[in-house]
Amino acid sequence: MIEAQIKYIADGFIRALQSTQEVIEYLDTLSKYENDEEINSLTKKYYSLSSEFQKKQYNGTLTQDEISEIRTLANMIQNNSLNIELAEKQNSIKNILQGCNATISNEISMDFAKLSAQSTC
Amino acid sequence: MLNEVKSRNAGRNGRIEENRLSVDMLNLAAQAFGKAILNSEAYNNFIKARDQFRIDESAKEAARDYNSVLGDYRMLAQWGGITPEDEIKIEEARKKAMENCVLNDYYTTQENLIGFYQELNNYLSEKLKFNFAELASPAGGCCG
Repeated sequence: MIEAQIKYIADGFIRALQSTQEVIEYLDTLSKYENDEEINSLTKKYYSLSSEFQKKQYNGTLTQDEISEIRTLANMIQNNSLNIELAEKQNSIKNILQGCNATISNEISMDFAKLSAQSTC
Repeated sequence: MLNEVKSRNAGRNGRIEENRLSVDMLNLAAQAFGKAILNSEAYNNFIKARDQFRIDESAKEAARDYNSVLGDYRMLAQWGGITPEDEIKIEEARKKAMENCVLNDYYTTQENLIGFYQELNNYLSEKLKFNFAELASPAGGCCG
């Protein structure tokens, strides 16, 4: 359980982050991305095909046409303007967040982000 | 014309000033957050246990013994050669290491501290609507 005092200070840190232009723009783009019908339908189709093709690959029945189909879909997602914009905005906030993490980590003499990220390794 | 340029520059300088202020505030807020962690129970318990471990020779020896078995176990796991006997061996080594109170305390407080950090990250991430730690981790991969 997080102590009230830390929550209070964390809230101040959250507010400071939320007031930076880069975070405002990232959240705005993220919201557009999440509500975009085209990107939603492309990613839904991609994950559905990807799961179906994995089974086929395992069984050795995956065809060249199917590989081309999923590649085309991946390219469409990658080249989607909203997807590109989101990646750019995410890179901008990464610099800011890494700077904040360096400040926090310097105070506690250990890497806060590295230790608090739920590792999937 | 000159007035237009002056006004444009004033606007730009205003934005730069605003950005600088926002960066300063962010730095101060991040620093305060770090200092709040320093005052937390989980952090202080870990530091005490770590300092105790550093001066306790028997705890360090117990850690060395355990790490040696753990190293072999991890290597076997990497090559997919873990047997039920290896599982028993690592469990026994872990139990033996945990019999050392100083080492036990060191590992336990370390786990608690990481749990506390994860809890803090969840708190930040929920409110920010993105995973803070994931995006703030230095580049170089999660295992780096």
